[in-house]
Amino acid sequence: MRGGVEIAPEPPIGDSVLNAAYLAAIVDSSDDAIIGKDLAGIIRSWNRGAQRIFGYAPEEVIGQPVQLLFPPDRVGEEDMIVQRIREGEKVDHFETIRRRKDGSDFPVSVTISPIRDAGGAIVGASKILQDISARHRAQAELSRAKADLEQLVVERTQALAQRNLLLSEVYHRVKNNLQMVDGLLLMSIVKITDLPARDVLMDLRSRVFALGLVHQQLMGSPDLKTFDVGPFLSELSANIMGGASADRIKLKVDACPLDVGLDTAVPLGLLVTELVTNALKHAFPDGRAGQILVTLRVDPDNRVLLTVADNGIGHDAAAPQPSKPGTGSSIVRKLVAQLDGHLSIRSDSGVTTEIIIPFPEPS
Amino acid sequence: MTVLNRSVLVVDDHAIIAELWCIHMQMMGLEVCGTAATADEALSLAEQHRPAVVLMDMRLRGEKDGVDAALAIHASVGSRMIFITGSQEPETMARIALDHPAAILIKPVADHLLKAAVIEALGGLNA
Repeated sequence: MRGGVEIAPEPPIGDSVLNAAYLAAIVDSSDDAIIGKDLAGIIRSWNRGAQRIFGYAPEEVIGQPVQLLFPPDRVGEEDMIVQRIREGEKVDHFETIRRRKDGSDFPVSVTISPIRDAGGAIVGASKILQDISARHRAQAELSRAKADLEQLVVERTQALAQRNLLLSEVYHRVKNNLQMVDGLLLMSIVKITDLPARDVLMDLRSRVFALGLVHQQLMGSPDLKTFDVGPFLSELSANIMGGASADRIKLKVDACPLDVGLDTAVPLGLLVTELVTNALKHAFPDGRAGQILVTLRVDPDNRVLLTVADNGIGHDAAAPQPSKPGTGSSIVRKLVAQLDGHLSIRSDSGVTTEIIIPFPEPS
Repeated sequence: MTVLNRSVLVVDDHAIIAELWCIHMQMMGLEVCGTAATADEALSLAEQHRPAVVLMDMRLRGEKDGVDAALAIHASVGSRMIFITGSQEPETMARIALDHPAAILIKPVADHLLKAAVIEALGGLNA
């Protein structure tokens, strides 16, 4: 029953006629169908709510069996209901289907209570039926919305998998092409007898390797977009060392965890390639031993500090500097500018190159 | 099983990349017994030359991939396999593991890693 009971005035106590009229008014004004029936299942009372919900006028149903309101497949429910009423039990918010006069079925919530006479004997039952079509519609709507959302998630997941597959394939092909470039370079190198010319092409191989390694790292990363720079710089530097001088010149890479994408990894990789190559070539002439240290830190101002330091002979004692800057130093200057960075070179006991760049924003 | 030759078979469907591996082997002083672009070619060359080591690319021309070729060569010749793969996806790695490879190298392959893998594979054979 709904709120109508609460706003009604108090019944005049002790006046049974008025009291009955008062109760009848409550029953009649209810939105729910309130139906009285006897133990034989014959309808004995029919309120306005019942008329509105089922479409029958009282004279059409009073005296008729209650099964009139049941769809054929629900008729069996009545035995269960009668059984419980006879035992003095109440059936609370039982959800089922009932049939209107026009033959249409609709969902209802039914509460059935025994009616007792003055001596306490059970003589019938009151049925309160609430039309729950609106609730069912809302539930169906909700289920549909949920299904739509699930479908959308499935589609998005598939789209993402497609994108990953495509991206992986692109990286794979880029890598293969770079490996082919390396093949072309090596085919030329073995034909060249002039050592400085060979050196130029060997340096080019290191740069191509750096580009390929960036794509290898991207391909192995879970999101195919970013990877930790430390292992990348270690592998990159190890390739440049290449075992040739590995016994007398030690390499150490010390990088803090930093996820980088393609746009940062390529210039960083090329910078480290140039600086390590340069140290390897110039810092330790005449079979000198020493160490090359590559460090990468993020400072408190959120800038990335890349340092390549050697403990070799330093600039002053090294071979005379060429009048024109080499390809390597030109590459370094251009990449530092591209990264909006700052470059400084110190030469005391060995050469230390420090590059400071803004923290790479995820693209 | 008869003794294997101290030679290397190169299997890669990209001619220039195959040449790259050949040059590396020659620079190491090793003989390359041949290059193949398909799994069937690889098996036929391996049976003919009985190389100690095979450099095997994962993606090959035709239906069969590097693992198919490797399993066939392993069964009939017994060469040691060095896989060179562009992809390090779990499915690829799981397939390669079927063949008990001597080494797995991921492109781009650093020169020193290739050399180390080949020396290791030759040593393991006592050739």
